[in-house]
Order: sequence, then C-alpha cells, then structure tokens
Amino acid sequence: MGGECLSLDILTIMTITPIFTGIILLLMPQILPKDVATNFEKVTRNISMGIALGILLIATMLFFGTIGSIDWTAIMQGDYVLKNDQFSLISSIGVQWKVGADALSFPMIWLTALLIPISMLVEWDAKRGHLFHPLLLIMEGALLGVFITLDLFMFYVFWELTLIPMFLLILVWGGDDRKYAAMKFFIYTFTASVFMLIGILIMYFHTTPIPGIGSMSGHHFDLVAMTGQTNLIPSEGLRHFVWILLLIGFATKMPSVPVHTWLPDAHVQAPTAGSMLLAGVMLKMGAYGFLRIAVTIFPESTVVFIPLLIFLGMASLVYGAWVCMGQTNLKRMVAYSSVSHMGLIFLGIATMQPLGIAGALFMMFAHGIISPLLFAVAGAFKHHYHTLEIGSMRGIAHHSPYLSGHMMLGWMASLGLPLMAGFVAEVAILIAFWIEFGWLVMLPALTLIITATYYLTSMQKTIFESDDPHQGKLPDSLHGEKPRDITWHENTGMFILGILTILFGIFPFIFWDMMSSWSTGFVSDVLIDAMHNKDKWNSSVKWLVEVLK
Amino acid sequence: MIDPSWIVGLGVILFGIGLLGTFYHKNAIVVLMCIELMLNSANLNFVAGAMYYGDVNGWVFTAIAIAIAAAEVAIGLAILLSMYSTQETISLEDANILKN
Amino acid sequence: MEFKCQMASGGVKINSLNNISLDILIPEIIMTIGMLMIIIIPNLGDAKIRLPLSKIHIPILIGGTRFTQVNNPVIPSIISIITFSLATLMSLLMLLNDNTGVMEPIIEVNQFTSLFSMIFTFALLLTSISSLYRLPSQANAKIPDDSDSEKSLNSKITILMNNRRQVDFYILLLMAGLGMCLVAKSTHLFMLFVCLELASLSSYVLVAFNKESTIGGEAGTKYFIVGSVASAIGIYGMSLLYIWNGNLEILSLTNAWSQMDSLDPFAGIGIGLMLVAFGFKVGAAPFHLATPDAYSGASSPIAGLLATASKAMGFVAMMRILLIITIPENGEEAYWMIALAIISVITMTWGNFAALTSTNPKRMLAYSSVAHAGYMLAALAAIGTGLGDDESNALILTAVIFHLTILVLFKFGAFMVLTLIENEGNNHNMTGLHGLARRDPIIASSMFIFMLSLAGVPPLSGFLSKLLMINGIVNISAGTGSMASVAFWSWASSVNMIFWLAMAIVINSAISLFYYLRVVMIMFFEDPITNKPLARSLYLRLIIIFCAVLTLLFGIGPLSESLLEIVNEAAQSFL
Repeated sequence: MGGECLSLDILTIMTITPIFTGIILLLMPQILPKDVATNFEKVTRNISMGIALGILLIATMLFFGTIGSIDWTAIMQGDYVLKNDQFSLISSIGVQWKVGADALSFPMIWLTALLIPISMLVEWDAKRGHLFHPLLLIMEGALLGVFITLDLFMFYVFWELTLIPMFLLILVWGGDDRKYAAMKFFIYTFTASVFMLIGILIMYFHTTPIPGIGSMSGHHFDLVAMTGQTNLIPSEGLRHFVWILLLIGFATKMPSVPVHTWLPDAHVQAPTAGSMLLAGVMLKMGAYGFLRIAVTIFPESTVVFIPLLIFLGMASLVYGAWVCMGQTNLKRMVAYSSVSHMGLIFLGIATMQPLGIAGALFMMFAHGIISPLLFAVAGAFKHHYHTLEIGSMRGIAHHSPYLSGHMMLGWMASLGLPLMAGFVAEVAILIAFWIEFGWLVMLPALTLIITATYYLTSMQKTIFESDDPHQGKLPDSLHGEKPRDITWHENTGMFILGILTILFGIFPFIFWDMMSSWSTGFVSDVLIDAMHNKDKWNSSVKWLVEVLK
Repeated sequence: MIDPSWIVGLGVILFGIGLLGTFYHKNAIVVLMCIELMLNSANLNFVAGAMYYGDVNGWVFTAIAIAIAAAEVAIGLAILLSMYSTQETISLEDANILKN
Repeated sequence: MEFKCQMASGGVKINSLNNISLDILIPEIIMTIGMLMIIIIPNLGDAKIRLPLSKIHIPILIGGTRFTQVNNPVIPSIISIITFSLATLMSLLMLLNDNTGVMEPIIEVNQFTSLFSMIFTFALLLTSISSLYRLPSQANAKIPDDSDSEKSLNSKITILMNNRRQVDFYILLLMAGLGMCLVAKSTHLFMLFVCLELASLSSYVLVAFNKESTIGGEAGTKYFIVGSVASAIGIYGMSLLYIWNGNLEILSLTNAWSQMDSLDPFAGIGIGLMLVAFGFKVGAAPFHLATPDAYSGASSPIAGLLATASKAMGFVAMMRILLIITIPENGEEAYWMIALAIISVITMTWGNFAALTSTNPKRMLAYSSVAHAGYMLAALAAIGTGLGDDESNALILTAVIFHLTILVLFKFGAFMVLTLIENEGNNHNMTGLHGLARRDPIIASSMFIFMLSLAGVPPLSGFLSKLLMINGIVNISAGTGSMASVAFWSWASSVNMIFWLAMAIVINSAISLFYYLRVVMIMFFEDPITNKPLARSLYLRLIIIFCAVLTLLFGIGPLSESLLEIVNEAAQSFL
C-alpha cells in the first residue's frame, strides 16, 4: 500500500466489516477474563444481527439510491458502478483490490445481505450461539467478496474462503452424519475449484502488462482488463480447454448433474442457517462466476459448447426432478429440487437470448428466496418433530398451522405457480428456449408440469389429509409427545421470505427491468459477435432433437 | 608408478561391493563397514585424481574425507548402542516397532 | 602477514588471509561463540589453582563448586535461544542491507544465502524454544552419596544425566545450524559436502536423542544408516566429478560443463550420484523411506527441524547442482529434466497416498512433507525444460524459495502443536489431538490454520506459494501447445509434458485435503480423552500463535508483498 491514502468505498466496507467483526467476536471471549466473557457471549448474537441488518440497510439504500435508476443497456460491458480507487495488494504478481457492481452482481449482493439476517433470525437460539452468529458474519463477508471483486485472484480467495465457515457450520452444528458430509462438501468443491484455478492461471499468462502492476511477472489478474483484451488466448484449442476447466469449477458449485452428489449430503447434515445460505447464495456463486468469467471472456467457446450446456441443463433438470420424486427426506427433496432449478439456469444461458439470460438471472434471485424458505421449513420441521421423513406424517396443519402454511407456500413457489417469483423466471426461460430450440422445450416443460402435479398431491396429503379431522398422524420420533408450532423467530424469518416470494411474483419488474436491460446489453455487446460460430453446433443440436424425439 | 585408471577401477569394485553389502546385510555393524568401503572408494578416486592432475587438493580432500568417515563411525556406533540398549538387537530386520 | 604458497605442481594459490573480511560470516561467528558459551558457562565455578612453590591461589573459574547463577539446567537452552535469535536477526539485517561478499574460492554471501541462513536459524530458534519444554531437566540436582538407598540413588543419577544431556542437545543444534548456514554459502563442492555432513551427523544424533521413548534409538539407527549410505554415494559421485574436472569449485565445474560437447560419463554419473545424496535430504521418492520413521521416532521439535531446515538445506545443495552447474545455456533441455519430472510425480503421489493411511500424526506430517518435496521438485523440473527465459526461471525459483521460507511457519507450527501434546505422552496416534478444540480453542484454531495452509487453501500463505509454483509451470509450458490447433486434443498432444506436472500438483493437492481435514475433524469432532487443560508452556504458546498469524499475513496483503520482493531479489542473486 505504501504511502497512498486509502479511501474506502461502500462495497469494500460491506465486505470487510463483517469479516473483521466476525473474527473479533470469535476471539473476544478467549481473550477477555472469564466472567466478562460469559456476559459478552450473551450479546454476541445481538451485535452480529446489528451488523447484518446494517449491511442489508446499506444494500437496500444502494438500490434505491444509485443502482435502481441506471439504464443498463447504455452501459458497456466491463463497466461497473460503485467502483473503488483500485490499489494493489500483491503488486509483484499483479493482484489488486478492485471492486464494482453491476446488474449481474447487485441482486446477488442484496440477496446475501437479506439472507444472512434472516438465517440468523431463524437460528436465533442456536447452541453455542456466540460462535454460530459470528461465523455467519464471516460467511457474509466472504460471499459478498465473491460478488463484488473484479480481480480473479481475490475472486478465487473469496471463493475458497466461503468454504471454511460453511465447513465449520456443517461440522459443528450439523446432523448425525456431519463428519462425512463436511468432508465430502469441502473436498468436492475444493477439487473442482483448483481446476478452475488452473484455468484462471492460463488466462493470467495471456494478459498483456498494465503499467504499474505485475512488476515481477508482467501479468495481472484484472478481470476488467481481461474482458477488454481482444482475443485473450489466441489458440482456439487452449481457449476451449480453459473454458472446460472453468466449467468444472462452476458446475460443481452450482451443482450440475454429474458432480452434484455433494449437495444432498451437505444439505441434509447442515444446520438450518447453513442450508439456507448454501442453497440461497453459494449455489448462485457457480452461475454468477460462469456468466461473469466463462461466458464474458470466452463467448465463442460458449457458443461452441451450447450442446454441452443444454445436455447438462436437461440432465440436471430431469434427473433432479426424477430423484426428488423418490425422496421421503424433506431436506434431500429440496436439495434435489435445487439441482433441478440450477439446470434451468444452464438452459436459460444456453439460449443466448436476452430473455433467456434475464430469466436465468431472475431464476438465480427467485430460487435464492424460495429455497431458503423451504430449508427454513425443513429445519423447523426437524426441530419440532425430530425427523425429516415426510412420509411418516399426515395432517401437520392440525398441529402446526403456521409451519404448514409456510411449507405450502414454499412448495407452490418452488414449483412455479403463477404470481410467485419462480414463475416469472421459468416462463421467461421456457419462452426463450422455445424461440431458440423449438419443440425441444417440451422436455423441460413437461418435467416441470408432471413434478408439480406430483408434489401438490403429496404435499396435500402430508399437510391436510388425515383419518381423524382433529388428530392427524404423528411421526414415531415424537414418542407420543405433543408437537408445538414454530417459535416466533422462525415464524418471522419465514414470513419475510414468503412475503418477498409473493412480492417478486406480482411485481417482478423491481429487479426484472434491471436484469433484462443488462442481458440485452450483454447479448448485443458480447455474444452477438460470437454467434457466427452457430453453424458449428446447429448440426449437433439437430441430432439431439432427433434422438429426443 | 601405477596408472591412475587402475586405482579408479579398484574404487569402482569397492564401491560396488559396499553398495550391494548395504542392501543385503541386515546386521547394522556390517552395514557400517560397507559404508566405510564406499567412502574409501571415494578416497581412492580423489587420490587417483590428484595423481592424474598433479593437484595437491586431491590429497587434502582425502584427508578430510577420512576424518568425516571417522566421525560417522563414531556417531554410528553410539546410535547403534542406544538402539541396542532398548531393543537388545542391532539387526535392521528385527527393529520394526516403528512401523505401527 | 601474507600466506602465499605457490605449489610447484599445480599452481594452487592460497589467498592472503588478511584481506578476508569476516563481517559476512557474522551469523556463523555468533553460533560458534554460542557453542563455546554453552561449554563454558555451565561449568563456571570457584576453582582455584595454587601457584607452585607459593601460597597464592588464583581463581580459574572453571570447575569446582558451580556458582548458583549458572547451576540452573536450562542455562544451555537459554544461551541457544539467545544465540539463534541474534543469528536470525543478523541474517535478516544482512538480507535487508544487501550485504554481499566473496571469500575465494569457498564462500560467497548474497541475498540468497542470507535468506537461507535466516530460514535455518529461525527454524533452529523454534526448535530451541519448543525443546525448552520437551527435554526433562530439574534444578538443584544433588550428587548421590553413600547414605542413599538404591531407589533414591537411581533417581538422583537420572536427574543428573538428564541435566547433563541439556548441554549436548543444544551444542548439536548449534552445530547443525553452523553446517546448514555454511551449506548455503559455500561455492566449493567439497566445502558444501563437508558442511552438509556436519549438519547431517548432528541431525542423526538429534533424532536418536529421544531416549525417553523406546523408538528413539531405532529411528536414529534407520535414519543414520540410510543417510550415511546416501552421503557415501554422494561423496563417491563428487570424487568422479573431481576425476573429470580436477577442480571442485562450482564456477570451474560450470565452465567445464558448458564446454562439454557430449555428456561425459564421469560427469553425468557423478552429478547423478550427488543428486542421490541431496534427494535423501529433501525426501525425494526412492530415498524417502527413512523419512517417516525418523520423524515419528524423533521428538516433535526435531521432526520439525528435519521437515523444514534440513529439507531447505537439501534443496539449496540441489539448486546449486541443478540450476548452476548443469543448466544448459541456450534453452536446451537439461539431461535430468525427464528423470526429475518423473521422480517429482512419484514423490508427491506416494507421499499423499501414504499420508492418507497413516494414523500417527507425525508420520502423516512426514509423508506430507514428502509430498511437498514433490511439488518443489516439479517446479525445479520446469526450469530444466529450458523453455523459459531468465525472468520466468526466476519466477519459479522465487516460488520454491518462498515455499521453503513459509514452510518454517506452518509446518513447524504443526510440529510445535504436537510438541505441546507430546508432553502428555501421546505421540504416536491421533488420540492426543482428540477434542483439542474443546480443550484449547486457540491452539486448535492455530492447528486449523496450519493444516489449511499445508493443504493450500486461500488466503493462507501455503496457497500463495503453491499458486506461484503452478503459476510458474503453467507460464513456461502453456505457450508450447500449438496455437493453430482447433480441437482440444491436438492442443493437448502438442503441449510440453511439463504442463501435466501442474495438473499432477492440482490433483495431489485435492487428495491431500483428505488427511489434513481429518486432523481438523478429529480436533473438532472427537471427544477428548482427558479434560485436563494443556500444559501452560507460555513461550511455546506465544510462538505458535505468532506462526499462525504470520501464516495468515504472508498469504495476502502488504507483508506477503514485501516478502515476495525479498525472495525474488534472492532468486535473482542466485541465478
């Protein structure tokens, strides 16, 4: 940093504050004398909540103040708002602190800022809360860091940093098989992301020097400069290779079908707040990174590999929905439905249409609200009924009216019923898909409809049906005790998420306008030039259509 | 005077015997002796080089290498003794409590 | 006075001693003085000598009844801690002031050597501090007399022997330090080898020093036998080089090598045999078999010393041979490149898989250090391809040196945590680590940081060094793939095979996660076997926390920046 004066901008503060506060809150009880520490531990969760709410407030104000009023079609790709005065972190190898936001990252930033206080609220009474809530704060900083940074080195650092608090959350507060799940989660995602790291390094070595940074190696990690550099990697074969390496990293995080197996285990074992963040934000990191890095820098490779994207998307969608139907474990069910929805995001990107990409973006956001709601419901179910086996229960509505209300709402939103947030995204993606690929759209559409029917009937059974109108059937795990309805803080958290689901279903334009104008700009700036490669894959798509018929 | 190449040849033979001995013998004392053979073959090479080049450095190297070998044997015997005091054996085959 | 001695036969000249400036050898001189102090100070007493034929008694201070101030058995460790702190500090100052100097033809001092002598002395400082709590000693030992029963006689003798061992231990440490520092500074192959032997012989004894446990002797024997076979092979290889060239100065060998038309069998075999000796020091694949035995048999501080300083010493010697003597001038491939690449892959894979199955924490760390040696050998192999220009070679070398530097922090840190646990008597299975997070959260979180850094998780410094290594390999090799190739497979077949080393490192890092995370699992998940708090060992705790904080700070931010610059300068001064 030398003698330069640091002027901190708002995004940096949003990222750094939770990380440092979290670390301080974790360390304080160790340093303070015993009696003070005990008192301090009692207020830890309040302090954490205060900070999280403050960040949510800042994010909301940013939206109404600056971001909401920008015409994104007019903004060139590679231009960001809320930029900082970049300064170098490790100048000899060209690492800088450079942040910025645009319509791709801002909904994710807001979503993170929203979900952290809500997950804190849902787990307000967590065991060892003086460690739990600060860990969530550290998590918030790392997640925000992924979305705001414009330097690939820092992107990778934050990307991996999110693993550590999540690993500890699963390991310490998880279910019975938490050890296995935490290991699997960490190793899967870490392995995938080191492949991504190699891709990033190959890109790094094709950058041309920028004066002042990268004194030792002559290269830099600056994402904006990489986007601006025409023909970053001259060799087409190498370009495709890098694209595949990046896809391995991002698809594992999303997760897409062949590499999705960590997700159900992690979800089932994670504590409620962990599941909410995992499904709500961490999965979106994959889609975000894919759009931000792989598609933006290598549009030609994306066009060439569209059949692969369609295959991965279809496979995730169909397989996720299919496995989901066979599940009796509530969390596992929601986890597989997440896999299914992530498949839709790939399909939306594969259309290469403004509508499709905007749909994918809205799907990222909508799923980020709906799946935390479902996981909160599953967590509360586990908390009060001591089981996750949905088949062992009939007529929850008699015992827990609020819980069953939230559960019904969550499932309806997840299945894409009209006037819910998920509906907007699904319809946009399917329309774009129909425009681009014609009748191939029948496969995702039919999958969605069939699964919707199946769930609605099974939910109806679980929630309402019972032999005795006043009793219902209780699971064995209760040992004859009478179940209680959910606590006030769980109820509040779910209520906020439910309201937002309906709000964004009725008024999607709050974020939709921003997203669709951004994707229009994205397609016309970045993708349109790459489209001349289309004939390369036309034949393979036709073949795919033949096979599917 | 003997041709230096004969000395080098003797060195190669001694080195081969020493190296094979370290692989095949299990008694630590015999292995130590084999190591001595290897060191001495190196000394013969230094001597041969000194004779060939007429360079006094080779003789100095030989003297220092002998000193190193002496130190190595002294230390080696002490270490063997410390193993013998706990395990009552100096066979490299029987000493295997470390494996588990 | 001038020593000038013209030999009739050869023309060897011995330099005039009076224009040698000793200020470049300050760390070594400090260590020598420290060694003398350890011998003298604990023996200070009130002994007097009577002048013959008179009644005048002259105090000679050595022997007799010892003064109470020096009667404390921890005096040697305090002296050694002070000595190593001073030596580290002086090396750091020499590094920052860019002190350079040459002592023809055996010693050269530049940033590279100062950096390494700082690494060595710092690792030895950590060893001394952690041994302070590791070796048993007792103040106010009594001399047994006739009135003692047999039991009290035995216990008194044990106490006396334990106190006696303090001096031996720290003198050996100082000797090892002296040898290591001089290895980094020597520019004469024979000098290098003698210093390497000085350090090795001390470390054999240090491994066998762990007499409290029955395995110390066996570990020492195995380490000694394998080590001395390796060094006998190395010295034979060196004698072949002498026959080939008639001069063992590194400069002269370099010139002779570059003027050689085709590979001379003496030179080729000689270099190859020397690499065997250094390969043993770094723990490369076929010679790594004694490493886990030695580590698990030695006490934890010594195991940490072997894993950091001793390994760094092996790498310095290896770099002198590989990168100075035998590197071809004009971008050709070095003759050892293929062999080194294969060895590096075998080393890292074998190390990682063996670590997966080991249940002893020290064995696990030993295998992990074998794997790390594999990563660094892969980086050296990348320099051997001759594809890179000077700048990219310096970048790779920077990565290797940076890794060796920060390895002292987190590898030794992990061994220091084991030292704390070892004092309870659990040192050869994981049970000692069970539930550490509940017993001592700060030590457990330090261990957490060390493990993640070993695995290479950002933003810790282990990530930065691994990144730099992969970085260097990819930098050199990725450009070799044919630019025109459209399909991926045609690119993949045209790229230099060294590129796949980067992939091997990546896959191996992923495998290594399993066993590093297993330690974390055990610390956070298992129930502790005892609820007693850990030993209070204040200095050890402080230094563990210090290492953990530095591991974090060198990962990212201004400190890592300045360290990288220093290391890069050192690498450039070396090449």
